[in-house]
Amino acid sequence: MPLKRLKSFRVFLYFLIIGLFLFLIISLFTLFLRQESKTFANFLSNFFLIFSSFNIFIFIIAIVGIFISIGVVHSLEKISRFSQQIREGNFKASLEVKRADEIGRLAENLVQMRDQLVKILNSLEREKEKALSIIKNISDGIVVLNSQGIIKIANSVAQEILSETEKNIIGRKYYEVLKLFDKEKEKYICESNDTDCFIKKAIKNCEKINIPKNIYIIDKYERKKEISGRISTFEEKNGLSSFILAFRDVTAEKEIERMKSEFISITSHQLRTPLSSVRWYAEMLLAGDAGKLNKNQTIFLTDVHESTITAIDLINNLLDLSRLEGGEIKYNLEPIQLETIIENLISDLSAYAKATNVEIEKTFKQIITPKVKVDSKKVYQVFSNIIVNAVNYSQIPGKRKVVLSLKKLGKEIVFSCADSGIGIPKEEQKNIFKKFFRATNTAGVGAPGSGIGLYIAKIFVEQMKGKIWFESEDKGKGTTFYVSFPSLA
Amino acid sequence: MSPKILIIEDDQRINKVYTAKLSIEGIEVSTALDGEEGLRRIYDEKPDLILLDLMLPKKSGFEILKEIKKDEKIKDIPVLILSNLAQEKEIEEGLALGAQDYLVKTNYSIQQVMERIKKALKGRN
Repeated sequence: MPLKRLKSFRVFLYFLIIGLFLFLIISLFTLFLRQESKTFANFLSNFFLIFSSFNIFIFIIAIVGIFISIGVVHSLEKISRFSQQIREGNFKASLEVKRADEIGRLAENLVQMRDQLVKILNSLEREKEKALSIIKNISDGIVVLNSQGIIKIANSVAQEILSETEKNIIGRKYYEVLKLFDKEKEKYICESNDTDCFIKKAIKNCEKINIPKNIYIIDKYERKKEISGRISTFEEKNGLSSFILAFRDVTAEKEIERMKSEFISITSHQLRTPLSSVRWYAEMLLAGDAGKLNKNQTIFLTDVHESTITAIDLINNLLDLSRLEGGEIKYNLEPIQLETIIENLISDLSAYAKATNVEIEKTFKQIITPKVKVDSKKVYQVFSNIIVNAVNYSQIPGKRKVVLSLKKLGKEIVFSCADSGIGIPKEEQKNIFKKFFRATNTAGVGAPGSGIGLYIAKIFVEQMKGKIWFESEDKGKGTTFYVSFPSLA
Repeated sequence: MSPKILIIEDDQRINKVYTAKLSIEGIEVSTALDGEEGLRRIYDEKPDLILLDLMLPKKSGFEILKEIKKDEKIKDIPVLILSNLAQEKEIEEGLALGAQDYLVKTNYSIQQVMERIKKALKGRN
């Protein structure tokens, strides 16, 4: 209210001036009367004369006051108008108050504040534009939906995948634009009434959801494009949620993946089939199914058999390797006692042990350790690899024994496989788990191997939160391999 | 009476090995070289056990397995898949379709294969 009070003060001054002015007229009038009467009038005129000179002084002050108040009110009114304009968002409003006092400084500060605000707003605008330009130029298709499922933004990649122009996308409901087809279930998904739709769920529960597998987007020209990606949510400044659907056209990648997988599958089948008959015929001959063999025949055939097994292992390992590097290996973790795997292995490997004349012995009789959470097929493969290695490198007369043990040490279940074979040379021990590595002293033994088995074993074990290591002495004292997994009890 | 096994396998050499080994074991064997013939023989011969390959001409092993499990008359005949398709999803699919066992041929010795066959036959009796 100060401005109003200032204004009433001004009105008061106006009245004062008018009053004083009247008083001055009366004083002048009495001066005139002095010429006519000498006695009482004289006294009165003297009194008024003294009083009116004082009046003139007040009069001057009042006039100056009015001028000052006019200046202040005018400036304050300008400032008030300016702030009103800023409030309404007109940042181009101007304010000119040429005063050296507090009011002048106030105006100056206001103008500076306005300039600062404009700067901040501009930088915010630039940030927003930057974010938008990132969205527009990102290599993924981006569609931004509001909480009603209406499309607000669709970047150029999204337009390209949909083969649609921006104006045919923006402002429409997602199910009018995105035609999605589930290849596995052979049906369209995310139609207007599909309550199971991942987009609908994401909007309803405000959550992040990956686009399910095997989903095709059907473009304007009915072309199918396989997509992957996800929908995520963010909160707008008005408190409502928006949703970003980011997706990629993976048709070409999936096609290559399918071709690779088909190639591997067919090649493995084609290579394995002839190897199966070689292996089995050799085994039949060695078992005497075609009559008793002489010593040389047995030796030669054993070599044929071993070479075949090596070739089979190589194929298996190469397939594993290719799947491993393609990230295709799945781990089906289940609680299991390692004893059962070892029992199966001993039974499956008994024929091989017999053929190579190596004894496989276990130090436990029944189930003694708590369960571990592993993929039993992978563990079978890892243990099999270790045991077969141990058998192969134990071909030293008089020392043909492999000892398997299973113990609970602290919080770990530790499997060990000890042979008394040729050992691993000290300087080569660090390379044992490297791809395609074979120790130099294996050459003389004639033991088969491709140098992939332990490389894969280490990856498998570590993927199941286990550890694999060994201790070895090369002067014929043998090698012990250890594998441990966290105990569940 | 000796047990009867039907082998559905398109590789002649593999068939010869099976036949030779199974005969030694005293098991009667008949072979079919493609899927359609295999299915026909299942109905004709009512074998005690079927050894089934997966990649077969005319009708795949998976298709044969589906048809076996659909028909009341033959669905109880145990099926051992002996294939060289060794990807996890094939193994899973084979077992899910009702095969009793899935052996990757190269990974088993002929003795191990025989043990599995005998086990399956024992289960049948």
